Amino acid sequence: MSQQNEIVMPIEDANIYIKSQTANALSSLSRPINVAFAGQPNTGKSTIFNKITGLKQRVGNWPGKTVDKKEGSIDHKGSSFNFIDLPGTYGLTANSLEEEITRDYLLSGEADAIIAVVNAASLERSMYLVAEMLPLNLPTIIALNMMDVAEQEGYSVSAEALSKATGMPVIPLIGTSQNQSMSELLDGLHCLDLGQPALRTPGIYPDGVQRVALELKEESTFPKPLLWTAGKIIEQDKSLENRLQQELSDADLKTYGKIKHSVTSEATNEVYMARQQWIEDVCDKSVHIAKNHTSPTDKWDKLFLHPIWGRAIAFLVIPAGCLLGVILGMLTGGMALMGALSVGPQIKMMWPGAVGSLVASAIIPATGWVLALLSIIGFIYAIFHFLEDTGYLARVAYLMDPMLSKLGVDGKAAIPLLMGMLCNTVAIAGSRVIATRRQRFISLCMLPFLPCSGQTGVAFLFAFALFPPETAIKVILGVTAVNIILACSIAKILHKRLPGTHTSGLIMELPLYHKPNFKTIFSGVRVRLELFARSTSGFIFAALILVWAASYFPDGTIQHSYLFQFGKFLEPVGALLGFDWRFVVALLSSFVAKETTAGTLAVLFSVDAGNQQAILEAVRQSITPQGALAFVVLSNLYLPCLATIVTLKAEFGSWATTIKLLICMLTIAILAAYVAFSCTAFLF
Amino acid sequence: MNVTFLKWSRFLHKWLGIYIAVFTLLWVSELLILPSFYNAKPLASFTEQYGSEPSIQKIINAVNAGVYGAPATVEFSYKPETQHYLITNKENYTILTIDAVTGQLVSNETDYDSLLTKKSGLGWINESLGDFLKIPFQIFFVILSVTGLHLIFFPHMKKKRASKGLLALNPGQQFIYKSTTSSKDMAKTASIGLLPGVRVTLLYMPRRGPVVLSARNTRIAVARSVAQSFIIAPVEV
Repeated sequence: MSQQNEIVMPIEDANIYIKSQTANALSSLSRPINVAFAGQPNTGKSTIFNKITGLKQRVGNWPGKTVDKKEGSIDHKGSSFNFIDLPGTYGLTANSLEEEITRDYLLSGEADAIIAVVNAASLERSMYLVAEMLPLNLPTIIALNMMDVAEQEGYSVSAEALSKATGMPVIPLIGTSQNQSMSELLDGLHCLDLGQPALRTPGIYPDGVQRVALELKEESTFPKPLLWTAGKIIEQDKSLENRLQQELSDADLKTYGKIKHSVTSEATNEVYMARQQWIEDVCDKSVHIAKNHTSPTDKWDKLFLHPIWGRAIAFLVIPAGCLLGVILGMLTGGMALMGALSVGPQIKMMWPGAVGSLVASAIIPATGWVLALLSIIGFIYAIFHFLEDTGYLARVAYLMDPMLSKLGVDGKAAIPLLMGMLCNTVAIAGSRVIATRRQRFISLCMLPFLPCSGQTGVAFLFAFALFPPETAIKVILGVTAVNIILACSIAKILHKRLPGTHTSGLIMELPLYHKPNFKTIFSGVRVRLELFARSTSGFIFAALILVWAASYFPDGTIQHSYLFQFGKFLEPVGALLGFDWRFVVALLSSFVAKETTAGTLAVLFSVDAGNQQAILEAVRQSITPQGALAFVVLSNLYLPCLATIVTLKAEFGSWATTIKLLICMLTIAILAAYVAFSCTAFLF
Repeated sequence: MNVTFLKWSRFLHKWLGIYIAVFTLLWVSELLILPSFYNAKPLASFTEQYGSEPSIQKIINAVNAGVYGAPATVEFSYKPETQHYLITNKENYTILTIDAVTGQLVSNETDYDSLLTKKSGLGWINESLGDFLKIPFQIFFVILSVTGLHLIFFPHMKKKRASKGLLALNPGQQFIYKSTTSSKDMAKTASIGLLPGVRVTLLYMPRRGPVVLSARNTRIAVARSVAQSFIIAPVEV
């Protein structure tokens, strides 16, 4: 190879000791180069990805999955790079949806190279994923991130030594620093040697794995590379087993069955021990740990993990964070909603008829609702993203785990569950922080049962209007307790009924405390809002128009509308629960948003919608206390609002599951309301 | 079967004991706090209003006129042995004692018996709730006695096995992680930093809930059920 064809990186600057030749460099590919961003959680992967791609990102879901997919493209030195941010994963044994996506993508052959982001402060742990990726035979560059945190923890990592030990280029980075340039990483990528897999550290698999790999023929239907597949078979990877059962030919299934039966736990342990040996060798050569250095994380953990003070702080911080998010959201998007609702009468006056009514009662409120939800979701996300970025949120999850583990979810579910008491929609959209599919499913089924602020508002309004203050408080507390008990019961039932998990309990990293990166937070919020706007806003518009049409046609008044006729049709159900058709219609219209219940009743009782006292007086005269209790119970328990249903569908990824849950909720709500109506006469 | 009964006995005895202990604490607090909310207020001299030797009729008229509170809540009685009129206000929980001969106010006291009967045991929130909470106490005491006797006479239940392995260590102790007996946790524990041969420090071991370990500068929270299945070895010095 001629001297002109070589790109020689200065060792002291870039820590790349392997000379790459342009003829065999990644940049020699004539098509856009797909580069996968892989790394364990808490390595600052998203920060690096955002720094490289900037705002040129495309967000979406992985095909058929409810996991965010981020892509970004840039041109560097004449080459076009397409970056794919893979979900953060600790290893390639698929215990969760994210791990499955990462594994399947890396095996798919779509990636031309990998940027492996590792945490310099927890290098030994971070290198595990790199060790797992070695047999995939993809050219890899290591982004040695969080060098500042490593220093703070008393760790000194030599990028050059790490590069020599692994056989891969290593670029030291401080992702959170404003001055950190990504040009070194891009240069390293540009001249990454396509032949690197053959040159770098020899295979880290024990002889047993290599023997099994020889049994799997190249032309077989086993996923390639065969050495990786052999390793996973010996590791007894359940997820891969499911995949193999579906993909393998009959002959290969027989081979697989034979190998599987010969696998012993000693052989499995050998695979892990070989990886441990490789990581230890690499880290011994590159990491120096300062003696007698006290980690700031240990100091903070004494407070934040304290069984009493830690919990007290968590119980203050999390509700305060939710509340702050809602207040900020209401001050911005909420104002937009109020504005949208207040211009309705003027529009109707200016533009009489169906079109004016459509704009005033459906289009503008829908716009207001979408803006309000976006701002609330945005602020809550920003606050929780901030807490997560500092490393505190994992501590909250740890502290909540003993309470929640009995319901089949771990501590991470505490955050969406607490948010659910404010807004179900936001909480459901936020349930993606939960690790496993099973836990996410249980949490999603629990959340609609939790009373959101809208439902609590309706309960307050009717309870204080229809009962003396002492009784009203008891009614509100009682109904809220019923909601929570039902949510917990649903979780408990699902926990018993659903197939078991891949793990027997919580195994979670408590990340080192570090400075959050506001650009990453902003980017995360932007992605979340973009996904929410795309998946949900259209449905909110469609549903509001549908409800408007039902309440407007045929003659433009709700008193003669199809919604009214439907309410009349359902009157026997209302009679069973102690209230007349007007309450049934109010419940049906609250399907759009729980807060609309009072407004609908005002229209139906033919009083001024703004005069709350008049509404209450009219309602009080037309319902018994038992009926009122049944109404409050039903309003709190029956179908959640439209935005919640749409978000629920987006997260379940299936209308069938969503509808099953809604039918279940409706049945429970009617039964509970019936019990409230028929068994509480002694209270009044 | 016996073990099941004993388990139930232990379970009921434990939780009823806790419930009764909590309720007793609440009761004692209520005994101390409630009277201050229902203190009898000083009244004007009765002689000034009714003169000496106030007649029964005068007092009844005063009661009916609502002088001592809403007539429906006031009970009037005469105690011939002491020649005292007793006016009991069920709303304020006060007893007014008037000397029938001199017309002097003998005492104006809080009716502690009625107050505590009605308002204790969360009766101050709702009397029906208080009554409801107090009823099962007799049943609870019976169950407590029966389960207590059962546990005394049949103490055959196996003692809880002492913690072994990782759960027997104290915070700050180090060990070498060897493996886990739970094959389904093997990959997850390995990927998070618990690989065979790694030196681990036990950081926190709360009474309940996950334990916190430190391996290779990574803090890892693991559920007790997961930690229990770890095979560990002592650190060689």
